[in-house]
Amino acid sequence: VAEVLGTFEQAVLLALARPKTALGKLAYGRAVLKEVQLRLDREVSAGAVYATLDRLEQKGMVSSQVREGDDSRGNLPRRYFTIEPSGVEALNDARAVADRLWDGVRWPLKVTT
Amino acid sequence: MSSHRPWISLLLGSLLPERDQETITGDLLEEYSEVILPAKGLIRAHCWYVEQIGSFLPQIEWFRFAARVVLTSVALFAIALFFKPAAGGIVFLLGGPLSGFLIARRSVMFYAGTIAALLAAAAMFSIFLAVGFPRPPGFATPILIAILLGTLGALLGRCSTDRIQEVVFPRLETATRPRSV
Repeated sequence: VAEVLGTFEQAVLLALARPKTALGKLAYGRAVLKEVQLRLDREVSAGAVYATLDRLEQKGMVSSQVREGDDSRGNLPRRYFTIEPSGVEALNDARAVADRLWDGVRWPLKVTT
Repeated sequence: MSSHRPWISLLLGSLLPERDQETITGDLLEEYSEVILPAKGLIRAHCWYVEQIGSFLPQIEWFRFAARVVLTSVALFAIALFFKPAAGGIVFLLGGPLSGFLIARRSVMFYAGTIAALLAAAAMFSIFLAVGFPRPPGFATPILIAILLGTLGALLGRCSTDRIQEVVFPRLETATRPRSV
């Protein structure tokens, strides 16, 4: 059974797979953080995003490459992330699981008393 | 846009694993100089940076380990003090150095072990003061001893890592270094 991704992991992978903003398309740490905040519509801690990226990279769902930075960041390098095929597969699996769970359920649910 | 690097970014760099030190510090610096500093001003921008550092701490494996070790030392001290004050004194003198040793060894950083040892000693001493035991003359001497022993413990912990890796388990080098944030 494939591992089902958590919501936060899905948000990070989707930020890499389908960025909504021009900054997001650059797919380095800060850009991913902004994309995740946009997708989840809330403030997200930088530590949580980098830890998730690191974990996904260890699982082989994401790969990264370090490139030179510019003056806006004191010439410090940027780490660019790319989603790997196993990451796309995991996203598809997560979506399929959610669809199966909600199959036949009218949304939004109404509270019954 | 040129960036001014806040001094506090050095602290973040020292906490992160080597692999991410420059990239993550650079990302935060970029956000700091492009968005946060112009919008919030210097003091609030520094507060923002501290908040960002705080968000990384729970993600750092050796930091979680350090928190557990320090809390365990303090809990043991409180229990020992409750049942037998003399045993509390022994735990006080051993807790700091042991914390320093274990954390310096786990983090491979001497200063992390030293700070943890000092925090453990300070927390235990605060409990001692809060309990309200009579304070004999020279009661502060154990603090100095605890500081010295804590530093020594951290030094031993740091050195033992190098020694063991070089001599006995050279392949442990990558395993013991904190890789992930």
